[in-house]
Amino acid sequence: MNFKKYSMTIMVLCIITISLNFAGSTGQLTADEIIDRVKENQVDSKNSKTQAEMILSDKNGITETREIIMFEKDENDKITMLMRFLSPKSVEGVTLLSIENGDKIYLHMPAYQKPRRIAGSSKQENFMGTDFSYEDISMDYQSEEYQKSLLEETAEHFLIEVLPDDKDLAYNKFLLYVQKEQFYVEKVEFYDLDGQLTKTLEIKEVKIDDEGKFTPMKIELNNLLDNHQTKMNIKEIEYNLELSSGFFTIRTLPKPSL
Amino acid sequence: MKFKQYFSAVFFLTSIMANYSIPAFAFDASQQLLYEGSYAISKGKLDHTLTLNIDYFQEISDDIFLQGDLVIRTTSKEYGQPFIAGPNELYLSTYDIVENLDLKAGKIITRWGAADLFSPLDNFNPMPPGMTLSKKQGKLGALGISASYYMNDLTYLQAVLMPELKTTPYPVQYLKDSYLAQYQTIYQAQGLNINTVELAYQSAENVIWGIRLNHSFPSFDAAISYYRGYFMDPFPVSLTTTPNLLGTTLEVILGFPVKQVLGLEFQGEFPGIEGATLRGDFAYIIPESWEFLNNQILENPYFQAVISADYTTDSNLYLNSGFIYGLPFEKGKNCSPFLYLNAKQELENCDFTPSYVGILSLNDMSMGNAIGLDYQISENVAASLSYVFLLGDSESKLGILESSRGIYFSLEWLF
Repeated sequence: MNFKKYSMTIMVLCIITISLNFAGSTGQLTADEIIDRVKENQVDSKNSKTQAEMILSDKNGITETREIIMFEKDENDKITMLMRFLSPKSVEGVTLLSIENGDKIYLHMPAYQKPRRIAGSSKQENFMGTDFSYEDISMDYQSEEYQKSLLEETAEHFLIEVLPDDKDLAYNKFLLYVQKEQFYVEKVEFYDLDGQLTKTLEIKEVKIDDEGKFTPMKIELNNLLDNHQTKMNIKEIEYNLELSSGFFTIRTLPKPSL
Repeated sequence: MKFKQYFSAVFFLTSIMANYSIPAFAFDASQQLLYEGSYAISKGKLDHTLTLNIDYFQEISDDIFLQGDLVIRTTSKEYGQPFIAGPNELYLSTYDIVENLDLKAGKIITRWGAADLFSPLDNFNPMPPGMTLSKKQGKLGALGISASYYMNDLTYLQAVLMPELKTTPYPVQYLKDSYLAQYQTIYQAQGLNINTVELAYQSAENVIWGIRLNHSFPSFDAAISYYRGYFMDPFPVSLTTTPNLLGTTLEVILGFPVKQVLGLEFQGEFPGIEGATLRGDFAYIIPESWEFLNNQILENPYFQAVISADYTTDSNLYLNSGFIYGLPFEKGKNCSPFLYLNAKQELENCDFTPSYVGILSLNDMSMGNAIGLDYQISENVAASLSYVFLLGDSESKLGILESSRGIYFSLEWLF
């Protein structure tokens, strides 16, 4: 009698344990939960400074290399960014300031000697010959304001559909491929307002630190319409810098050294 | 012979700079070697100009910089100085040494106005004399100090002070020849043979200063400003004649009338046109009353304005078009309306970029045009060819461009 009672208890416990494991497994995560896990794995910093190399390739395979330095801060889920070209000489000193997800964008070109404000929808123009538009640079794909749903789960990825609720954007959908093992976005597909796939962004290499936080080190953006590619290789990245309160404003644009 | 020597000297200096690495100069520098050739049809002459521009800065501390722009130039142009060398800008800049205050002091260039071309609010620094459509003209540096105080992230107040007026550097011989051409016939009819012209200047005695308040609104930036200074072009004060051994000397005294400018500028989204940027400058100009030979050249306050829009099409055609009321050489009641267009087409998989700049007088329909082609030879070398021509006669509003009619070529190397 005791054996039967204990066996039943053990069996119930096993079933409960298996159920709990199943409930805790990645297969039952919602899109929002997956994105939250991705955000948890991102380095949590008030700001960052990145030095990188951009390689532009056209459909004939001709390449052009540019070096940039970029400062970014994330406040209340709004990204503000300051980016400057360091080379080649033809674009040296050109500086872009994008404030709060591109609400305001300023361009400083040394030859003009004064900041130029870029109008709203011109954010969709490609920035300085790259495949990134001003909008691409300043947008937050993981914004909580966007509707997300989990479309598919494969052996390696979660496929999440993101529908931005913003009629000013040039895109009506993104597909995020979230890497299951380390929870970072490995690929983004951009769909235009007609539903056509126009660009893909892939993270080719990441660096994982001791706390399991990841930093993308090699990024590739493919413009499928123009058959043009932009590769970004991160050379150096620093977090939590001591920057003045006025750093991400137009007063920084003409400063010769950042 | 002299031009060739200067040309060789500039080239030699460029070779030295190109061969020695930047650390040898102990500061950050970017160099530009620019060759410009022009063939003016009216003169039937080919002119050459070679310019070495060195932009440099030295970081004295995180927030203090020494910056400048050295120009070494030689030219074979008539009226041009055969050789010049010196800093166009040289100044100390500080950022936030005093909280929220940025300063710039030395030989500086201060640019006000949102418009890309012919802003009536851009009064602190002159441009080289003459109007050109074939290239963007830079400003000439002048001694001064500029202070910008940032009240918050959206608003700043800028004050500029210049101890002396920097005038448009018209070559002396050019002015003499102009006055001779203008008055020789008139005086000849009175029996006077004008064979020389002497110029003298009344100096502008007061300091030049201005103040500007800039604010960033959600969809546009705007600023209001006040400038008190002078017109940078010389105005005639008086004409007298004195006999000399061979005829008569025309003595011309030139001066610079006082000018006050109340300004409004803005730049931002073009309402109703997606993707377009609207920029505008409005100036209410209060001139000193100025009379010459019983003609009131300047009297009442007047307006000048530039309103323009930028737009880039899906096929990478860049358009910048606008309305101008009063070109820089027009003053007072002579101000008149113009339309302009600046277009550039980036071609896919091609290093050529065709361009067009045109300006149309709405008064007499005269038109200045520049058709050009840029070619990116390599990452740091570019060439440009353009043809400038005028539609309208030399007495028209844009007749000033008649002497510019011709072919222009440039080769630029950045290193």
